[in-house]
Amino acid sequence: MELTICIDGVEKQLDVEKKGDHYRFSIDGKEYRVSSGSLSNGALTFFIGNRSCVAYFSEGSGGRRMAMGGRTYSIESGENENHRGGTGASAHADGTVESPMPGNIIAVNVSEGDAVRANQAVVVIESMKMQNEIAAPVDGEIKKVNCAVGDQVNFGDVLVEIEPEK
Amino acid sequence: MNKVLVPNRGEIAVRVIRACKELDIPVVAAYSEADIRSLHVQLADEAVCIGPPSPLESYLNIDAIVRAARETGCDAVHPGYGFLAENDRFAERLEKEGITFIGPPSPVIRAMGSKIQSRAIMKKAGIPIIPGSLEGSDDVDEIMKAARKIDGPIFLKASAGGGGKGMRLVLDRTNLESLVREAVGEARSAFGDGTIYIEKYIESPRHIEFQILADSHGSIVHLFERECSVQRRHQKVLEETPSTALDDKLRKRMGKAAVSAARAAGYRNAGTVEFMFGKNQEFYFLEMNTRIQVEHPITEFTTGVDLVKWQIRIARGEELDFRQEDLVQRGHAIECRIYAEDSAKNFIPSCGVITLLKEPWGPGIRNDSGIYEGWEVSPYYDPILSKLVAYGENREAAIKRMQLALDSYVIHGIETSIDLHKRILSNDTFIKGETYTSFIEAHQDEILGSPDSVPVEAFIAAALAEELGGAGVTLRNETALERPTPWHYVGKWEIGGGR
Repeated sequence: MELTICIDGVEKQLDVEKKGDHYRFSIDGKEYRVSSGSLSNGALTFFIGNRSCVAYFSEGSGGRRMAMGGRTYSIESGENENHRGGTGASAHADGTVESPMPGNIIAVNVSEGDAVRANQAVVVIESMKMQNEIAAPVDGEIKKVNCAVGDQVNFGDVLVEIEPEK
Repeated sequence: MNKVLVPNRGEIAVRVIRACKELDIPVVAAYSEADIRSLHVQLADEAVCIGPPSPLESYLNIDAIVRAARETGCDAVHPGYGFLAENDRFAERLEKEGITFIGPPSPVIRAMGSKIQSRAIMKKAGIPIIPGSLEGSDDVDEIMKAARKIDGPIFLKASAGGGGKGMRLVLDRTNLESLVREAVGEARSAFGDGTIYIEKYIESPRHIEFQILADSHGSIVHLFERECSVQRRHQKVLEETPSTALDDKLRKRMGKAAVSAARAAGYRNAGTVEFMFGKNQEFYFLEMNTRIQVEHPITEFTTGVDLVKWQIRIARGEELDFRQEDLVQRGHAIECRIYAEDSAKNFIPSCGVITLLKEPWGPGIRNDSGIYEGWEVSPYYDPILSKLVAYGENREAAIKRMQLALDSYVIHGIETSIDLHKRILSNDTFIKGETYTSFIEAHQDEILGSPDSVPVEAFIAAALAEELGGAGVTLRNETALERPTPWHYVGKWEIGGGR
């Protein structure tokens, strides 16, 4: 059976064959004998040859996660929704500035019609008692300001829209 | 002391509650609405809500806290760290109400809380202080004017507090005004006081502090140093003891200076004297923290002294039952602060439900934690989740234990600093003990750069899960954790059904 697995943006083709009490994996031209203990309580134990492995899985707003060998990975489904897990990007090249975190707006440094430069702080958000400057992603003109001082914002809320300079 | 109120949250509230229980003193958690499901509330003997999530209306609300103490019959308050722990008006109010504040007397907090006053006291006592100290101001123009009087790099610091809040390093002056504005604003919202002062920046400094215990019978001891140079945003990230920079002679000299500083301040209870340590082994008094420090567990490991219990015992009038010469430093301890933040994205805070939690354990491992699986990290408070501490016979052994512990620490649902710590601990410069406060910045390419390639085991694991997932395996997810039932986790799937 062919499987496509995408981890942290890296895609690999895996050929999996069930052989009685174990599996034979074929990846990048190499073969691996894989036998499995169990999958319970979010934990998967298995063996590659004699090597003992444990992986933990979870699913949340950041997508599907796997922890293994002291690292955490994002797993994307084979179809690839073109988005990667994690606390995603806050700024787009198209000039939309999204909140990268939940918090309180404590300063809005721009108004509609203002000219801004890339990396200029447009909004300051306080979250977990730290003040975080949110910068313009591009040079351009402020098209719309969607937040005001005192507003409570959430992850992904559009704070400011910028018309990028041509 | 009959009953202790703890108007704090997270791991430090848990730590204090445990200490009270070990001393057989009933303990009450005073919590905000956002913390009704928090761990410390569950561990306390009683819990009482003191207000809405906003710290100003709850953990910083003196009236509400005093009321809670009265209502629950508490005759003592342990403030933890942060919030009101170093607020002299809070300590004074409790003194007036006849409630024991577990900490130093309010005039000492007031004097040490003002960087300007504390420096004057230390100068008089013959303790070296950092050059270029000035009167503070909360007026942007005044601060700008004062800044222009000092050459070279300067620090803007909040007069009313520590922990990096309201602190900015000014290397070149082009952004000075916006940095001053930020510092004033941050200080005002964190401490209710926007006063900022200026300090000359010391090149390649280390941050080394000494733990103090002072009882009410005139006995003051130091419990050696903690090296806290690994910082981000001027907040400590990793601490260790002993410091790799000190030899016995220097340690003795600094310890003596720390005790003199505590004596000059009229200190009582547990406190910390922070020093800036320069590259020519010169040291300057930085500030005195009049509370329990976040990083106190490493000192507890190497000295065998329970600092939080001693805070309570000193507050109820007990005498220290050991002297300076009884104290020895044994072995090495390291603490990693596990923050809810994304190190790869300029340390932005990360909130959400903890969907999976596996905590490390083993010889020499201590995890002071305030979280549990299914609990939601809210945006209202400090991002500290837990403090992982490793102890070993020597530095090398402690590093190794910490690396293994970090490898087995799994937190899903939010971003954390676990990976950052692993990279720090495997950094050659760190291993050599060459840690300066600029360490993370100076090594950010290695420490914050993109991770190694994904190993083939990870693909096999993901494929197996996908394979098996089709056979009815439930992954942990947020909605299930919102309403956890024992049945959700029951059920075991074994591969090769016809085995």
